[in-house]
Amino acid sequence: MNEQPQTDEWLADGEARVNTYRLLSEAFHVPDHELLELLEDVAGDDDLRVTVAIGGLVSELPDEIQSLRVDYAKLFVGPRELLAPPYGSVYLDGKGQVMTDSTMDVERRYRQEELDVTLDEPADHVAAELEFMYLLAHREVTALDNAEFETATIYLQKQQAFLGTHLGRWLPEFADRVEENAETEFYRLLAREAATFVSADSTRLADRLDEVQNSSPERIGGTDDSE
Amino acid sequence: MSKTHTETESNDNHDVAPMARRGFLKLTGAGAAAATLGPNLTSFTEADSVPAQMNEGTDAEWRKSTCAGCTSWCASQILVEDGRAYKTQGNELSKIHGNNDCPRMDLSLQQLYDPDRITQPMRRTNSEKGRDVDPEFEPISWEEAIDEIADKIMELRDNEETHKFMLTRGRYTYLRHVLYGSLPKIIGSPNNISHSASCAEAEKFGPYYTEGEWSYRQYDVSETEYVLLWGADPISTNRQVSHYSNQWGDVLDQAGVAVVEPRLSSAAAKADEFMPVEPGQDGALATALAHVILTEGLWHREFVGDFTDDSEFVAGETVDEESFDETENVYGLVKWWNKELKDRTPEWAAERTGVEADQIERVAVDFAEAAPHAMSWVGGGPVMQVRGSYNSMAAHALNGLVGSVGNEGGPMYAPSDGTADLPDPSPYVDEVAQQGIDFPKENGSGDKIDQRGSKEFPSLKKGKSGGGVVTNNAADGVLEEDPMEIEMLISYWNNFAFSNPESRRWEEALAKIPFMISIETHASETAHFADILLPATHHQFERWGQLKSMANRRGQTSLLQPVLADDPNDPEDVIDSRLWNTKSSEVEIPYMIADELADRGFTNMLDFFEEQFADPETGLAPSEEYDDRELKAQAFARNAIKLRMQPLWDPEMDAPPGDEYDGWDEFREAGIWNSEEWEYRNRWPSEGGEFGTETGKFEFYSKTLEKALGKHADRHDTDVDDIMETCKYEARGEQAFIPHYEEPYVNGEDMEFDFVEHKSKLNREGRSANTPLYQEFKDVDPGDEPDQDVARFNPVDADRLDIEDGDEIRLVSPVDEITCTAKVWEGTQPGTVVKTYGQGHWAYGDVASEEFGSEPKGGNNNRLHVADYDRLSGSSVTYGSMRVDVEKL
Repeated sequence: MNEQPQTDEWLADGEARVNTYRLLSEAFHVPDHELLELLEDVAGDDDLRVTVAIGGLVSELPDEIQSLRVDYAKLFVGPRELLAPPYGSVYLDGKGQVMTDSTMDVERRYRQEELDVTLDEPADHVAAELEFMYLLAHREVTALDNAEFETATIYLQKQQAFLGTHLGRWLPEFADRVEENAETEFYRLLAREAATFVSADSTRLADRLDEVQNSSPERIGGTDDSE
Repeated sequence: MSKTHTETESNDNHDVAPMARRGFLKLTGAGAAAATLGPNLTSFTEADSVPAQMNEGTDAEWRKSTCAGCTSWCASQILVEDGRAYKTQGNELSKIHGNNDCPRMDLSLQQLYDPDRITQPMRRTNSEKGRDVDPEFEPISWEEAIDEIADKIMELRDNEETHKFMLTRGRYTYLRHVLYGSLPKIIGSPNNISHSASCAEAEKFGPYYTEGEWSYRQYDVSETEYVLLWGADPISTNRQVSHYSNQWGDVLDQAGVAVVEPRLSSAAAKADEFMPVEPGQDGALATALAHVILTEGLWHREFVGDFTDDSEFVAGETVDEESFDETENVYGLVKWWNKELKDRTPEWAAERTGVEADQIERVAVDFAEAAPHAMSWVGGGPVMQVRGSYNSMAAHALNGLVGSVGNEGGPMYAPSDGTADLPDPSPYVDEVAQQGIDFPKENGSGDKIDQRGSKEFPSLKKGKSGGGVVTNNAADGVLEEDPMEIEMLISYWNNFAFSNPESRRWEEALAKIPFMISIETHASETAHFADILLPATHHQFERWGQLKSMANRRGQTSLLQPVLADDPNDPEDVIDSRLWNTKSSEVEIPYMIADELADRGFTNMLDFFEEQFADPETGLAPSEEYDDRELKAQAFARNAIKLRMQPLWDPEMDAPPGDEYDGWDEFREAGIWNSEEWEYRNRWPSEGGEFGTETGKFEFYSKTLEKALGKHADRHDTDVDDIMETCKYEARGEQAFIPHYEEPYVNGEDMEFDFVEHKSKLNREGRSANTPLYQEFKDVDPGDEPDQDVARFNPVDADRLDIEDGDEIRLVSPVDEITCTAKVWEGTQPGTVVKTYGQGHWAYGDVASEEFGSEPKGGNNNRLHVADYDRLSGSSVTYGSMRVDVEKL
């Protein structure tokens, strides 16, 4: 068992990252009452660490859910102009298509983690990619919690690679499109918060990796998954 | 000790705090409990059970299906790796086209993986409907969607108003029997309306009323010595393009090729003779060609017969019927000559057609000298005209004169394919339903909402008054509430608000229908008016079905399969393999509706599906295999296709001669059944056969049409002349029963340019304009430009109007106007404007439209066309029947 003093801080930061990815991934699903309840519960829980302005998001929730659902559809589903396509391939491969090579690379990374996509969407849907980051972060924190620094390093590297190859590369443009086209303040704010968080997260990840590696050099092996 | 926990130490989800159950982490500081709950997953399952090979991905495999992009219906194969389709090509087991395909098949992948597809069920939240009204769709579940549909059906049934239900069909497979053939009937509506009359029904009119076959033809190009094309462009847009494109180099080497076409087509560019006919004057050319063949004595005596004395056909002179001894193969040649052909000299035709008399004479002679290995190949252009039925007869009858009918190097049909009829829904039609089906008998005009069979719309498919659809007129039926008001519409795989002439009427009609369901892959101009949108599977990649094709003297029938699934027999695998939450329009959706109706006490439809569609291998009905509705629906789809194809794969059943299989899976993996070759002359009475006409002969004087028109006149207590007048034809008396010339009926007579339309080589019917490849390669259509919608002018006209390439122009027709881009092009005849059909979408997707939902890319030709008809066939009219004015903007 590792008793290094930095661990508490890492865990606290890690918890915030895990929770934020969790929250963001949920928020990019079709809005229903369960989602509203979740947002309100998160906002009402002072002990829960999240790195987005959850209070602001909740305050922007409209009185009736239908306007949110219609806005969600216009932004992310269609059937008319897809104002903010929620697929990585559209931004990364420049062919205006889904299921491109980048999508297949995303699927490969999911499979490496023994994950099967159950969402009725391509693997690089924003909600799935955010949830994948959540899962990797969760595994990293769990490893840290168990003082498995080598494992934690591997999951940090996987996060860094995924962010650098996929989500981090397209989310800013995606968020811009949401901000530009959303009819509800909720989605405008959500996009801004998501972009801010994800953009800063690569620095956050680099720092974490650096700290873990410097703190326990003899324990750190890891794999190079950056592509 | 661990430094984190998840609010409690319990591993039991029911006992932990809500935030932990939802997958959030909470830190409590040193000494707290261990993290006991794993991450909470929404978009994934943590697949301990993911098999090892899943981690590696699956190997690439060619899987068999069918391209439904046009009516070539080529058997295809798709390279699938790791659940993704990469490539397409023809199925090499096809004895028609082998692994050849055409560009349209290649576009299909971009349809499949188009982010503009409808990906889940949606519901309109804005009750107002109109072209410029945002429907404000919201996503809903399948359950909610099916609930609403069942509510409405039950309301119609409870009110005994099932005749107010309507269903419209576009691209289908032969599982259409379920949604199109059975669902309206069991609910209780006569209104199942197909797209066929906007396709090319008039093409079938000539063959039916001369040789008794209501069908498209195949053409024996490998054995032919002369090809006479009427508005057909076999290397571009006609049927079985894969085969003909592959053969065409040899055809040009071995045969003469003449093309009758008002613009320079792909085939015309390579032809020996280009006959740039004045739009609508095809009938003059056809009758003049027949005139020359007879006056030059070049008819095929073995098929037709000969004079018994030294008589001959002399221009302007009648012939004594007694002097000509027709063979047992034909009927009425001399009547045809005396009543029509004797005056149709090349000079007479030259005045009308703009084609020089010398060329008419030369082509007629060359064509007939190649007899019987000479084909008159009739496409849509010369016949989808207001008086087009008679052009169809005249051009097709040339095959009779040269004895190429069903003969080596001529036109022929498909040998029988042996597929089974799916079960009959009639026993499940109850009293309420029957009353709805019978409603038009006592009320309003015609037999269905398209008013077929009314005095104005004989639509004489297969000799029956009201036998065929009048697709476009269904809009008027809806607007006029004649023969009934429509309260509910299910529209599947069609885009009537785009693909029907004077399409504005459809926008009005659709806006008027209170409850509309659209089942499509894309949010089309039609889907814009829907209350419920249901996302359709892509025919070629994601569902079961069957289509057939004919060429190379054979027929083939092939499967459409859910090729993305590793085991398409397994409903679970099929559903999982789909990228989005889509369902097949023809089978799964009707099952889901039936299941919901049964829950509400109306069980007839589900009873039909469960009792009649057991898996022929296991004997299990869908509900005996699964409880889940969606799995039952997919099992039903699989069972339906197995039943349909059973004679071809089940060695215990009889099938026509052709490929033989030893079971379902062997057949399924091959994906195709090929017939034996067509036996030449098998319908010639002189060879022991029979034509499907009244006389059993090839009719130059159509006793078959005489009878059909007579019955239609009797139905309306009048005579044939009155029917002719009512339906805008010139013929009176016996002329109505022979192939003859009618002066073109033109809407917008006083306008300046004849409007000449043709189909794009890249049109997957109306559904490919949103693929980037379509726009990038639009210049494969002669004279067109990439990513543009151009109207093409002859340089002489362009000079006069001061029009240059790239100018924005407005085309104004008698009913509407559009804007597009001008192009100066020598392949356009003076006095005409040529425009490809396909562009002009204001919906359908971001690539297809200028601004998706509002602004079209160019203009849709169908906004210009007048809702007029070739009433004998029921066909819509898009050729040779309209003029337009041009304004430079």
